[in-house]
Amino acid sequence: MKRRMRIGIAVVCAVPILSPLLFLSGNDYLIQAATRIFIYGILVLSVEMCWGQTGIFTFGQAAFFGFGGYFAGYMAKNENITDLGVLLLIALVAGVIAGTLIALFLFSGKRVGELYVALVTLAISYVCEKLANSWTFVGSGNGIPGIPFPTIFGKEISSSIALFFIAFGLFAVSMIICILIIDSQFGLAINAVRDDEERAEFFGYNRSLIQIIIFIFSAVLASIAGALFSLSEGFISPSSLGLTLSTSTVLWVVLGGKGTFYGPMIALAILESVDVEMQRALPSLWRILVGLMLLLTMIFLPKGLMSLGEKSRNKREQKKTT
Amino acid sequence: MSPSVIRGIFDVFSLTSILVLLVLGMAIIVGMMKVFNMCQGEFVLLGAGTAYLSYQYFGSVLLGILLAPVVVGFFGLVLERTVIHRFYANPQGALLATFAIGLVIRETVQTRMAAQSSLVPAPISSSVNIGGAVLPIWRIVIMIVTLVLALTIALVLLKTSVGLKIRATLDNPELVASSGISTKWMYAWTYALGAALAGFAGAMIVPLQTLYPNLGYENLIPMFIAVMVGGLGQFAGPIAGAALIAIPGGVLSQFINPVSSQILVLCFAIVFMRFRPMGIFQRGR
Repeated sequence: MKRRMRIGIAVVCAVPILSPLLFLSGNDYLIQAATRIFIYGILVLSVEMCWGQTGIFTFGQAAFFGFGGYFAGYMAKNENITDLGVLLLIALVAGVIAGTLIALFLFSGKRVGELYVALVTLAISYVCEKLANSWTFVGSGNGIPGIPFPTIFGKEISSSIALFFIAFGLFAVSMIICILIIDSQFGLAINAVRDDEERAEFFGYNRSLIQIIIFIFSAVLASIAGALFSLSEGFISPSSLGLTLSTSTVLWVVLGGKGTFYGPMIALAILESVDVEMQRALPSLWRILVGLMLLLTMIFLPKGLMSLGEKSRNKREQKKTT
Repeated sequence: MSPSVIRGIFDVFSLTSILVLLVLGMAIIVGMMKVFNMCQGEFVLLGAGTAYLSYQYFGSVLLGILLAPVVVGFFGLVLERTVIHRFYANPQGALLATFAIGLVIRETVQTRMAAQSSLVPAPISSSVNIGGAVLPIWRIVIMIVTLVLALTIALVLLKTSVGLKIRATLDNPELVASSGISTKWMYAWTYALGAALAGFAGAMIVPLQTLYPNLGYENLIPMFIAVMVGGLGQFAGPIAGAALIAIPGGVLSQFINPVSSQILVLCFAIVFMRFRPMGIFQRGR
């Protein structure tokens, strides 16, 4: 079994074993924060699949996140569909539709530049935020508040512990699926597209099809994460669609190291868990520090924090051989 | 013509001149240098902030408008020598690094600002009455300044030896370096020029809005789209792109609400860019 898979399984086993520690603390706020980390974790996975593994520089992934969130939230509140499975299915379909439209637009036919993709996805996220902000149908600036808790087989899930395990379960499933994809033959093909689009095409791979499939897949992941977010938080607002979340996702991926798979998630977990405390301790400085961290990472560690470990491992191996 | 029609036409021209003014600096940094400068909006913000500070401490917005290009230009020069020059070979890295710089500037301004937003009065606050429509003079000044500035820069780039050196450096840095010109400083000063123009634009337009931390960031996407529609490679493209976005947007917003019209125009621009990736002045390949 590959190393990536081993770590993945370890994470899947470790979290349920360690989580009682979290519940014993009895701190609802802490549990909700952990839930949010796993939900954002799915979003980060989707960006990592797109950008880190396939080289599609998606800068506006929050558009899909918010899209799924709005869809599920609207259905739950106004159409009284509260079954979790149905709502997630709705988000999945919404993600497939939105992802397919944008993927076909971006990747069918002639090749487009990487930065064009970044700019267009960012612009889409910007447009969606503007639209949600001014459209009274989805509550304009206030978004959709008071979304009811989801139900499973008619039973309402309102405890934060249950929501935590649902978020973790979906995260674990998504992570395992992503690992399976990357470790498969198809995974080699998507990495080939990332490393050199043209060469992959010359070897007979259908570059545009591969990009479209991965883009739709990651749109679906983001959309499901969004649905889960709106259901567990009980509200969704335009900021979940917009530039801030889009760019923080990219920030997590860059800090952790894109293409390292676990790096972005580690960066997310660290930054999100210290975020609240740091905002309280250094209210004015914290966001500036995050920006500086990103800048210094770009200059000195372009491959992210995970490359630190790689470097030291390389050094050790060099010592062994000499 | 009825006053409302005159006012409508005036608004279209005013909006266009504002976007063109904002894009001037970007036309140089993104259009000519091909650095995807995500902190361009923050240069605008810094320019606006300079105008505000000058108003606070010296009581003169006009002084601030004159100081803004100097301050922001110097800032751009320092930035280029410390950060940007590392990323010329790595456009994706440049995008992320400038994004980080923008984040730092925005957050710094956010913490320094006591209130949510601050008003900066226009140096000329009176208005004229043309055919029954009341038109603020400051907007007219912006139109004239934009026109003059755009023409001046175009002429400097095309007709003077400095302009020739800049264009040559961006075109073929090795040849220029072997002709005995310091390409290092050419890049730095060109970047500084782009920053200075953005700072100036910020100081000019801040009286029309209020000063708030997202002032530049809000405009970043329309600015970028304008540059991409116009096409990279020369100075005139982005300017034409800005006009191409602002004019339909302005005309549409006379009939439907401004947000919808902006969204519609941006969507059209995105589709347009897909089919004409080299911009409006694309020549057959």
